[in-house]
Amino acid sequence: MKSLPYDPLTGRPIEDLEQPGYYPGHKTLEQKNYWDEATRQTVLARVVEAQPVRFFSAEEARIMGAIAARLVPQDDRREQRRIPIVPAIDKRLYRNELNGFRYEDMPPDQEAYHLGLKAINEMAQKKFHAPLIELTIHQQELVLKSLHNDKPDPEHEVWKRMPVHRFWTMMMEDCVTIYYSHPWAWDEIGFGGPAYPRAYTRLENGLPEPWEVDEQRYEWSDPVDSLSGLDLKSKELPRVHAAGHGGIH
Amino acid sequence: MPPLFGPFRSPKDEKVHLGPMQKIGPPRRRFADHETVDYCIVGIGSAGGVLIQRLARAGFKVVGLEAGPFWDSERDWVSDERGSHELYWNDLRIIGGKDPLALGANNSGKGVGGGSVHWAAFTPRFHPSDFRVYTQDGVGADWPMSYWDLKPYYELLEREMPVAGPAWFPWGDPHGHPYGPHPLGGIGDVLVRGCTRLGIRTVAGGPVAILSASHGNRPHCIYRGFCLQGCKVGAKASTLITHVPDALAHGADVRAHSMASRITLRADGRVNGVEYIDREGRQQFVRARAVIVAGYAIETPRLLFNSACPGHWQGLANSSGTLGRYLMAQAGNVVAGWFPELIRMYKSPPAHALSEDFYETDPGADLREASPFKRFHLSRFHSPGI
Repeated sequence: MKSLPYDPLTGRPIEDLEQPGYYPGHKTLEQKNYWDEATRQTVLARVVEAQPVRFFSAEEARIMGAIAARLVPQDDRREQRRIPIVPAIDKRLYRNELNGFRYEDMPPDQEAYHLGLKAINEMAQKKFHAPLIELTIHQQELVLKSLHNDKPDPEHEVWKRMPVHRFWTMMMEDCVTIYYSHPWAWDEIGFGGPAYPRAYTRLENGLPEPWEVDEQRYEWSDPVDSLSGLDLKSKELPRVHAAGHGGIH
Repeated sequence: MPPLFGPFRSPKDEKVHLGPMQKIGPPRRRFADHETVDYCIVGIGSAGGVLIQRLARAGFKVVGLEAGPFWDSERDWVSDERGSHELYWNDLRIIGGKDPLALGANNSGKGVGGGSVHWAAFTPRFHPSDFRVYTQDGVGADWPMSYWDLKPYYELLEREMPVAGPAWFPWGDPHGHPYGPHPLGGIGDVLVRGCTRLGIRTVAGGPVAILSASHGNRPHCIYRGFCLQGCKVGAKASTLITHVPDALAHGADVRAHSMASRITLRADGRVNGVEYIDREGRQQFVRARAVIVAGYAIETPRLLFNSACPGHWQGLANSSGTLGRYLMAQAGNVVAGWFPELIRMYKSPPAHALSEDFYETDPGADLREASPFKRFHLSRFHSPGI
């Protein structure tokens, strides 16, 4: 069964949305003519159709795709409106774009991804007797959640050589950074987007700019078998991996 | 008199579009290789940028070496977090130990202006008591100077950057600010409302080194929220737009893309100059009577270590063996909260409201037992780069 968020009143799954989130009709890209040229080029470059995958092998790209689909789920989005995560991670690794540091107990980012993806796939094989991409979403989440919790289940020798929480943090940061730098994600969270040179003018009380949209909440429930949903129901707060980073940059 | 915002340029599709708002003149002067200059400064960031301006104004021949680019804010900077990655020192550094410090975007900058290009421009002063923390709290060390020694320099820089904030800042040595406070953004509003309910005093709208009114050729803040990604507006103070232009106007030679590799000494043990690698990867040399190293707490010791030579086998300025030790970045506690109402925290400067009600040590309070930390800045839920 495909795990989907659902409408708690009707029980109907929430899927195939042009734009999820509480800001219907808010489209940052429609404002692009009001942005400065450098910003416009930077943002529009993310909305190109197909980007090459040059660092990951075809199999690694499929595994990474399955993982990204759990870390930043897009099941409620229409197929054509899903934000590509894997090609952007691939680009960073292919071009060796670094964040200025590496922990001494970690291999280079590229090697970490090779090792990590292989380990995750082998964990899936060992626990559920199938490759990760063939597992149900619930099974995939069980494997990934064990990494998130710093207690790989089943154990794998890679995590004896590479600290699992550091790998997890790097992968999570890559996925989240890429997702939320895409203008479709800005539409989803109601972010007004770049505002140079025209300025933001309504600063207090969450008021919208003329081009922003008021929040219109709707009820939704997590997929029935989602582990993060179960966590919230059991009042276990999500753990934050700080790992030396002072919050969002 | 030219218009405040400079020339207007229409975008291709004829939509209304302002800008570029301001331009910084690129370096012009270049001393010849055979010339001996008075000073060579390594790193044109928060400190080096001010120093080069002072020395140039005083009439010295001064060269500034900067590893990163000389930014063109209109071309190089964007209203976008991920697109601003190049502002940071991204060269690979290996970190370790018991409590490894994440680098990159967390602290150092690369390019003229250095970290001041991506700081939050939050400018509270130290309290007089901060200079006596060992005497008063039994932690750290007392400063060899007092707040009162430093006060004239606070006042000077608050005018030069300049700083916007409340007319009356009630904590420490009470003081005002040259420019008026900024309007309250959603995030500051939440802080002020919450503190008021709890009887905690707050100030709002600063102190920040961000213009609340235009200043010379610099326009005021437009509240677009990307202070930490380089202020494209030119409202936030960075030495790139405050002191470096004045340094250039007074004959300083700023060399971008110039990575210092070694300080060399003469036979008599005095400094000879600085070797550096230029943009094309060629080795160059600046002959100087004095060298000032201002490359942050990582690149500065690295250069001094790399300059080890006979008589200084442990590196320059390291007879004590202390060089490169006791690295400390800015520490801060982060509190995040969920609110039922919309905040839109992406507008306004990241830090613009605060309370220092819990700043001073109170020997009678349990708070001191619970926490060895002295400073509790209630600013934005995240305010890096103070």
